[in-house]
Amino acid sequence: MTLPREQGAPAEPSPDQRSDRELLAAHLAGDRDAFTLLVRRHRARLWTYALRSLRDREEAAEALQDAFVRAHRYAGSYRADAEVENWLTRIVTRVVLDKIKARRPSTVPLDEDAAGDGAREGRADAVETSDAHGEVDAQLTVKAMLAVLPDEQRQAILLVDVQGLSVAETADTLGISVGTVKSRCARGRARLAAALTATGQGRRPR
Amino acid sequence: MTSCPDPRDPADPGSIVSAGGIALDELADLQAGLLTPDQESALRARMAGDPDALALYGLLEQTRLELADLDDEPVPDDVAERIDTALAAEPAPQLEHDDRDATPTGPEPATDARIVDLDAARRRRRRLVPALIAAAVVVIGIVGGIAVFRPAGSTGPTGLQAGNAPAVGAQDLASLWPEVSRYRDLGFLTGSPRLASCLSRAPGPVLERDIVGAQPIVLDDQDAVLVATRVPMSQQIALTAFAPDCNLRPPLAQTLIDP
Repeated sequence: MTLPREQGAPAEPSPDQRSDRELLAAHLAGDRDAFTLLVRRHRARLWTYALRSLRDREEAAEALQDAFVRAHRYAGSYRADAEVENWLTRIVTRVVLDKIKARRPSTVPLDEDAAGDGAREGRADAVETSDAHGEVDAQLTVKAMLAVLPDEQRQAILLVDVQGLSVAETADTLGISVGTVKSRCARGRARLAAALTATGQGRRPR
Repeated sequence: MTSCPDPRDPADPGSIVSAGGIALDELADLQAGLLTPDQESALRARMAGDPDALALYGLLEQTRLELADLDDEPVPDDVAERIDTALAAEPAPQLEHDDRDATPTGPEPATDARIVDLDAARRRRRRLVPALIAAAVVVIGIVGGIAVFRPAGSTGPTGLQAGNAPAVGAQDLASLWPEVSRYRDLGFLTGSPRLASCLSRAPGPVLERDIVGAQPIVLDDQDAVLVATRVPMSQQIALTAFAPDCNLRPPLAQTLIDP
């Protein structure tokens, strides 16, 4: 499986040509720099996931730090039947889900001040662009609407459609059935597609 | 297959219906693979005569493409720094001792995230000893007798450090028992934090404290360390061959013997 990596973000220096598994092995063998290199290789993707999931910058930072510390501490328990990046994604996902559960029954923030930078940026940009040109960028619309999807739908879509995990991997990670993952993805995609239509971005002939 | 309208949505998907009467939600179910074959066939037949429904389905496909193409956000400098600082303060992974406290701080990591409390995993393995041994027998095969083995060039050990690494095939591990039982030479695993992780990957319960001998070997032209361990609740000895990257994959071979 190929996962989107470092899209849009400035490429971080990664002169080390070792594979993820080799870096993890080096870390376990005592190489103090190996894990840091591994983190730098994947942190933009995982930061984006945490930020979009939690929509709170501080919570996302805490989640990412906590997840990387756990991965560092228990690297020896990594099982080679999964890609290292998927293993890291699972760890981050578990920490993110714990944070989401811990703050319930609070609801999804309705005001932009309560949302994270990514959501705030996306929504503001979408409105501004729409006002200026009568047409918004589809990516900005999708990004903005992701922020207001229910947590369950957003999690499923972030893991399947954005992070590139399979439906089965997502079900395993979230602890729900495959059918539930499909259903949450369907509902979430329908809302996003509806938003594209509403903003004139959908390629729906009329 | 109903959706709950969300007043924050700029458009409620439940209100979007094609000219032929097919709802966006139905098409999303089709796209997600939620329909039975019969339902899917029926819906596709309706879609064939409904260009508007086809366009709506294309909109869902566009949505997936947009999601897949979303850019990553750059990690803010302060977030990157706090992660680096937290990792720099971490000790090396705790893998060398069975009696360590592996309980993580904060919320317990879920096993499906592949973060495993090794002690707990070992306790589970101990409960599964008979089944695991049986599995090892099936996969690797038990060698009942011990063949005489005289590695070429070996002049015999004089202490805990082994001499030349004997070269054997996977089927001949048992023949090394007389030699390996006299050494405690873990070779490339000596003092390595990988040791506990490697041992935990053996098909049976292989614990560091049960090691009764170890010796570097060449197994099928590959450097390895042969580790002999007592099998709990039996009189058998497990001879397990580990590769240098044994913390990332199962052992190369294992044989159970009755010494």
